[in-house]
Amino acid sequence: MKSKHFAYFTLLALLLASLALTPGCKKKMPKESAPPSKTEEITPVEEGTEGTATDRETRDEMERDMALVHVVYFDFDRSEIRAGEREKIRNNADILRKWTDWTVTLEGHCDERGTNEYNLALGERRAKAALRAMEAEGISGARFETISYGEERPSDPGHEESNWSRNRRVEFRVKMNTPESRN
Amino acid sequence: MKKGNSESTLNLSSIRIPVLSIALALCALFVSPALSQVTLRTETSSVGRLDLVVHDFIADGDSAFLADLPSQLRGFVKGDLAYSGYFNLIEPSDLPPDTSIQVKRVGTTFDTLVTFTGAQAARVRGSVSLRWEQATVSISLFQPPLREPTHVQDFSFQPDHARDAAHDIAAWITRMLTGEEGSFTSKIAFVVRTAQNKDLWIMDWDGANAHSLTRDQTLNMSPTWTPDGNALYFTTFREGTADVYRYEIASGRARPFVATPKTDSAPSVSFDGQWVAYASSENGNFEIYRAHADGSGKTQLTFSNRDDTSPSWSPTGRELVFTSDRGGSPQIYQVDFDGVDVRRLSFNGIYNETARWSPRGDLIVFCSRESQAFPKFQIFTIQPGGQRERRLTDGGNKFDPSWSPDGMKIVYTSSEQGKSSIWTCNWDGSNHRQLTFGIEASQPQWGPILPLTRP
Repeated sequence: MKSKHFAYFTLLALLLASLALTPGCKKKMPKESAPPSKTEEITPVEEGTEGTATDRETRDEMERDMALVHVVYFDFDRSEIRAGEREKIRNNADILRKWTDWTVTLEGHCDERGTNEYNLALGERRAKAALRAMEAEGISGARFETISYGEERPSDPGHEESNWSRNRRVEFRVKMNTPESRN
Repeated sequence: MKKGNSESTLNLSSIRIPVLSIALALCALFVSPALSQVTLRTETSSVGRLDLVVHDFIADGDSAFLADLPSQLRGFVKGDLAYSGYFNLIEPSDLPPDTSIQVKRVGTTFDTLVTFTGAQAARVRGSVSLRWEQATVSISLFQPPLREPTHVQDFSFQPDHARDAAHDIAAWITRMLTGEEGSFTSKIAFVVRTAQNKDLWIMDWDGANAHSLTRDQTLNMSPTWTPDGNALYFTTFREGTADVYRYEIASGRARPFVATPKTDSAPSVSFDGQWVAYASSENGNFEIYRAHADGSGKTQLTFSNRDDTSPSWSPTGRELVFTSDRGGSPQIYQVDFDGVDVRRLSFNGIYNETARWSPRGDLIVFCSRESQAFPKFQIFTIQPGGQRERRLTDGGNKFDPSWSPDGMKIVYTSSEQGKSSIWTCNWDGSNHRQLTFGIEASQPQWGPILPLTRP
């Protein structure tokens, strides 16, 4: 199950990366069917402003890398990063090490089982577990915010384990700050 | 009638004798099998179910003009009484025929007196008249073997508000026959999902008149009532992270109660309305806090390194129950008002969540996953000491139980069908009834008994 998921996301990531390389393709959403979030995940890079060729290349590279940021999945009622997901943590940490101005909102989510109120707590535990894992990778905790949506924002509306396993997750909502925008 | 707790001791202070004159009461206690059926329930109510017959309401005056108003009104009254949990309704047609005798009274004409045969059930008779668009029903209560009505009362109403009038009439009948204040005029707040958002809704105790309160494109959840029924505290994501707000039902305005940058959630108002308990991750993990109803005087009540949530006050306000996974899985715990003396109450079941204390104080309802072999959540009750677990539901998942204000009924969420829906049952797990249809409804919270606003 786990390896299947990972294979799926590797595939997805490759697909998105290849799209990113296609000329003329401007906007890439990194995650599958990600619902709208309160925190704006992308600071729009001003289109049309006269940028140097280097700026454009940098922007393209940022968008490519953002598409490679992974969602981390969890076991039922657990908030530990499971072994099969550690590679994604390392991958996400690598990207954040490369783009030191990026900040991230870690969104904790649960499947629909259990009560809404308990799941708010569980979602927050997951977000904080992801935060600790990123800190363990050497990324400053100051670059992260955590939020829990409990079971309220499923990425998959179904009612089977195959759906639930995709809803027990932490999403990395990246804000692609530039050195100027961060100040 | 007795619900299987024969060894529990009778609490004499909780015995309530039906409202009768002393003479009538004495007479009734000695001779009436109907009244002796009033069981002394120590668990959640002092009354068992009373046998009751609601006879056809008759038209007083031009029956063509009244049309089906008498039968419509009787239907509403009967429905309310059957739903209330206090009565066992018997159809008049199921009774052996009563015999009528004519007696001569001194100084009057002949009166018809009914001799009750067969079941000694209490009787309701109604006579409806209409005058200048104003309907009046005269309700008479009979308690065999007494031949005269023990209570008579007139109720006036506009014919298109027969349902509201029926709540009033049923409340009066229940008060006269049992001495109890039923939940007839209460309302239920709940949550409805539309796409990615959730709104607060409200409906009558029987599911009628359901409508939305909020429509602001965010997640609004976990409503809980103030005891005057004027406001709801609820969890909202309108400012990004979850905060607890207070919503005024009359004006539709909402303002922050507790809004930290972290998650503030799961409010519960004390029975006296003075305090609001809630769960917050303000200091790291989820802990239980309480504050005054205006948000001042915030005090942290629990201190664990795991998560505590879903607080609920006891009727006395001296303690709260809450959900905590400090023991490894979510279980029900109790803590007192000052945050000391934390005790675990639930030991059966691998998951036990969202406990709510009965307004009568004698039971706590919660939802539970019994085991891996029976992985669905079901509704259970236990006594405050943790004894006498009783399962009220079966089948698919059931969540979010909440007591009616008279402690006779429980409202809960069922996700058995595709969309989750709201159901009620009696305190003993009988009389399950679906209240919402066609909307994805959850997190019901039963509000207080409201004063009548009948036109």
